[in-house]
Amino acid sequence: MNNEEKILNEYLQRRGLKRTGQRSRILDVFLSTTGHISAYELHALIKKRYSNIGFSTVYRTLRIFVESELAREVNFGDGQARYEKAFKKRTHGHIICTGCGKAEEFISEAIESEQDQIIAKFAYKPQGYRFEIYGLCRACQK
Amino acid sequence: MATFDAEAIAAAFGKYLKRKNLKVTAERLNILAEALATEGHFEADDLLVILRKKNRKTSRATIYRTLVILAEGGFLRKICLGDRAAQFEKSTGQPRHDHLICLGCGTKFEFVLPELPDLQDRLCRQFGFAKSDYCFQIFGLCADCAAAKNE
Repeated sequence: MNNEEKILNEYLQRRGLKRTGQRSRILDVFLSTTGHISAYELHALIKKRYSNIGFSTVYRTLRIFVESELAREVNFGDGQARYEKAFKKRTHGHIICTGCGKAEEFISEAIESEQDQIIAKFAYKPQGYRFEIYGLCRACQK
Repeated sequence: MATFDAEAIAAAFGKYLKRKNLKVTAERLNILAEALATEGHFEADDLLVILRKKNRKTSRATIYRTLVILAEGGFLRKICLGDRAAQFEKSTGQPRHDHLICLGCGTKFEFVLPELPDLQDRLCRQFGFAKSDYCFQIFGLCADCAAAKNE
């Protein structure tokens, strides 16, 4: 059992939810993805291998991943929630193309130190940040 | 707080609507006027309450759509706060700033990072992007919420 599966099982137990084969299959497929995937896209991938898993199950299971901090929900301003892997992944910013919807990730030391300073100034307990830059990628500028 | 001319902004909004082939309606102008008269952050429902009190009948959908138009035209700024309702604020009369948000009680503080524009320009060059807008929020727990969580 990998670490992610352990986290999921512990979370399910804590919440009084059942460990089901479908939930662990959805986790497997989700962990095999890269980048930012919507519930529809994930469902399309899952359907190829497991035709009996419905969209609602995928969507609800994604919410469980978010609650157990295996996934993070990201919103790129087009009204569609996307999910990225969150386990052992450093907080990062996104640069998003408003033309094709593609998103790149970046890590900025400068932003992280600025964030620490602001958090300290207001005596807050840090809970992460959200940094998105919107624009047009090279291909969409043409 | 810098003063600004609500009439001039309304005129500019009128021009913007015409350019976008949208109608200049009394409802849209009313929504702009109320948005400009509101200090701080507000959401669509706040405006609905204000307009209803003044007996100006406007539907929630009209308010919401107009706020989106105003944000696209740069007359208002949209603040996205994750799973909460979208909030708006005036974009005139105050410099662009960002927010520190308490995830417990929703309290917000404004801050300005002078280095942010340079940093974004660098990142855009690195990825070959033409920048249009950005969204930056820092999340934390305020002292009260952090204490409550530990109890």
